[in-house]
Amino acid sequence: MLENFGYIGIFLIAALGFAISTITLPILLRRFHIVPKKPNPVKSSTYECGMDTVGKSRVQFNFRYYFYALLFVVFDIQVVFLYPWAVALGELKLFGFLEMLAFFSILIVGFLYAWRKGVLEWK
Amino acid sequence: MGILEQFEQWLVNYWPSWAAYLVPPLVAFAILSTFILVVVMAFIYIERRGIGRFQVRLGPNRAGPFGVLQPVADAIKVLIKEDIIPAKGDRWVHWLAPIIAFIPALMIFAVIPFGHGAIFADLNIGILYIIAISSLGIIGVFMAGWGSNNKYSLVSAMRTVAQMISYEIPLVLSIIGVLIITGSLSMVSIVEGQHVPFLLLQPLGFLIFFLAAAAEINRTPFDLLEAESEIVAGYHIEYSGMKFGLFYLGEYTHAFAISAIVAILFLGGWSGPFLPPALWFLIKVFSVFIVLFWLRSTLPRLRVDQLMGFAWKCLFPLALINIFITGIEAIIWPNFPWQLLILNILIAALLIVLWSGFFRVAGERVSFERYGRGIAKGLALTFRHLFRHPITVQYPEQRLTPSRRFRGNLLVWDVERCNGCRACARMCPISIIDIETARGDKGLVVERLEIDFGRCMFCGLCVEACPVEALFMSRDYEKASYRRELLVMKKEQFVAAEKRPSAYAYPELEAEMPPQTLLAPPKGGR
Amino acid sequence: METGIAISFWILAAVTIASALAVVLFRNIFHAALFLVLCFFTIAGIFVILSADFLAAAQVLIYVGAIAVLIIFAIMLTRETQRGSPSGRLRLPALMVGLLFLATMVFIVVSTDWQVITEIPDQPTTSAIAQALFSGEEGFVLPFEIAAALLLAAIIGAIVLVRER
Repeated sequence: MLENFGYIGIFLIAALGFAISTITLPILLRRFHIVPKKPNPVKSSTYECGMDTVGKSRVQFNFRYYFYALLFVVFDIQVVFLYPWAVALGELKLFGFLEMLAFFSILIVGFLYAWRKGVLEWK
Repeated sequence: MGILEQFEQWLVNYWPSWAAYLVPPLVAFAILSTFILVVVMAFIYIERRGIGRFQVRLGPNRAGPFGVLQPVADAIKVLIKEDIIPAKGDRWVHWLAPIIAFIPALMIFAVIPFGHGAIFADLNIGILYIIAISSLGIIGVFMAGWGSNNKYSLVSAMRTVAQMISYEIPLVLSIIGVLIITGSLSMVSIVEGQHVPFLLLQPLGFLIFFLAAAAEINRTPFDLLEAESEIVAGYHIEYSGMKFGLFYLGEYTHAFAISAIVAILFLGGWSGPFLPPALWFLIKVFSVFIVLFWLRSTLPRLRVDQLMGFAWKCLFPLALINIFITGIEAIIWPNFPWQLLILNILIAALLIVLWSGFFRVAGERVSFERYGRGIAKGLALTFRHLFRHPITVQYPEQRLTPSRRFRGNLLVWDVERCNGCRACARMCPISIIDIETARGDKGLVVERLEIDFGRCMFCGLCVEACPVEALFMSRDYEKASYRRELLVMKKEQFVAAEKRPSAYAYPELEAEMPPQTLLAPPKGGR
Repeated sequence: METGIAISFWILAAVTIASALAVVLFRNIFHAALFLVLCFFTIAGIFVILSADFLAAAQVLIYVGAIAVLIIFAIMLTRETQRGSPSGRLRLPALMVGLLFLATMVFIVVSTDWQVITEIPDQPTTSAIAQALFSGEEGFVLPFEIAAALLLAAIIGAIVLVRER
């Protein structure tokens, strides 16, 4: 089994090499003057549909994003428990099913509370 | 025994063991990445031509025969464009972001089986590895948004990440139904366990996975955050050149990966009667991709609150209910006989129709009758479009005939009838007509006539004002030029021009004009 | 094979420690968060070396996919992130507490009698983990349900923060 992960590691290194070489290829082409390099301040300025920028670059954000990320963490942990359970459901039979049902219902209470309170809406 | 192990066993006879271990995956990676690039280019091509045909128009057909070299032309263009780096952006983060967004899409292919044993690494945790690696791409999106020093890029990156994490939960939950039936996470055993394709045994799981995966890779109808009319490319606004090329390539590679996963999980992978397994696999992958861009060419985008509401209130509860129903079936009938597929399809249909009653977005109920039938009619319409003749033409070689009363870009001046009254010059609301007359033998004669067509707004008042009917709108529309001065027409040009008058303000001329091309009914009726 | 495992372990361990140091020492918070992601990823690699493949995938899925995203959102919700953390008068006490904690952990690690298992765990590991967690007699059913209650507390806390009055 570790050989397979070794293959995955080699794949990762090779994919990194591939991606980095595709990005550095234009640098090589710049030496041959195929790719232009003419920076000027207008080109490097921030894009705002052709106008000059209005306001700061960092905007104060909605708490909504943080809430979605937190909800995602909780249900991601639920998913990590669900995967082994699903694979072994044949051996765990009814007891395992009821166990997971209890786990679910506890979390679903939280989810339904969030739904009823209207925090799942995007404002 | 996978292909790589066999290769290694053969190499051990010739080379030291560490070389025999390292060389096969490198060779396999070279072959696999070339294959992926070729298929991605084929995808780009068939998507653009396919969307064109679904929308009754020609797709790109100029680069190479039938436009086949279009993706190659795109790749070359993207390579030789200048790399513009935003001035105050974070340099390293900006540089690394496309790499981190591209690598997960490529890493998925390490566990995809293309045939019996034709898999790079048959991990025991196959599908879980895929899910884990896809979550790495989210960090790439964040980096792209942050490194660009552009507040719209940042807003779009945050919203894209919120969308991706919201759709990731239904995605991973819909696979669990398949896992309950199979009992193993390895991709090879999922394919081998499909005596009946899981599309039929898990219809709800398939639908949820398909929609959630389309939303993960930001395809229409879920591409609000990177569409050009919305936020001008979203988190990759400030990228140009090959870095943008990596984002673009990564998007299509991810679409290929998703189609491959759907083909493996729900359509039976490489199994099929007569053709070789790899060919069956490719056929299934291409058909999933065709359905993906069929949806893209038909459906409008979802708004951002509809997007989030759809993920959390519709897909997520349906995925949970699907897990429970499959779990109950697994306990009652552990062998999963094929008759269960009827039960599953019925339950899926019932749930979809009933759940839409619970689902309210922005206070408005999503009724299945309206939206379901609407989407079905739309899809049927674009499917029928495939059989129609496209209404766009190859422009310089073929031209459309404009309408009979077309207000063309040029006036037609009849020299004999003109009596020099200058009514047209006086009527023009923006005074672009410049006339100088002199006394000739039969009244006034126009000596100098200059009309500035760069500013003409085709209002037609000059045509209507002429008392002797000497001015006509024309049927020409191709008068662009590189310099402003060339747009000013003088008297000699008017006299020498080919006269193609249109019937604007002269309805009696309509009978002799050819009919307009676009309004003609399609051949064979509706 | 053994040397391959040893080489990858040393590389992964070095990268883990270097990225953990980078998290603490860098001034730019966003860069520190990115190094944290790298740290999580290499820890997943160490799990793989220990033949715990399910745990490695769970580590990437939860830590990189969810918790790193949460941390980056938290960074973006705060203003003025370029300046880094302000240095205060508590630097010296913080250093001493950190060293004390380090000494305690080193003492614990060195003086424990670790039981080393030489055989590889059951393959595939996923169903073995499921059996160990969920089965009736030797499973951990009650801690599992209590974990659910903990997660519920997290959701309700988040709702209280976000809802409008």
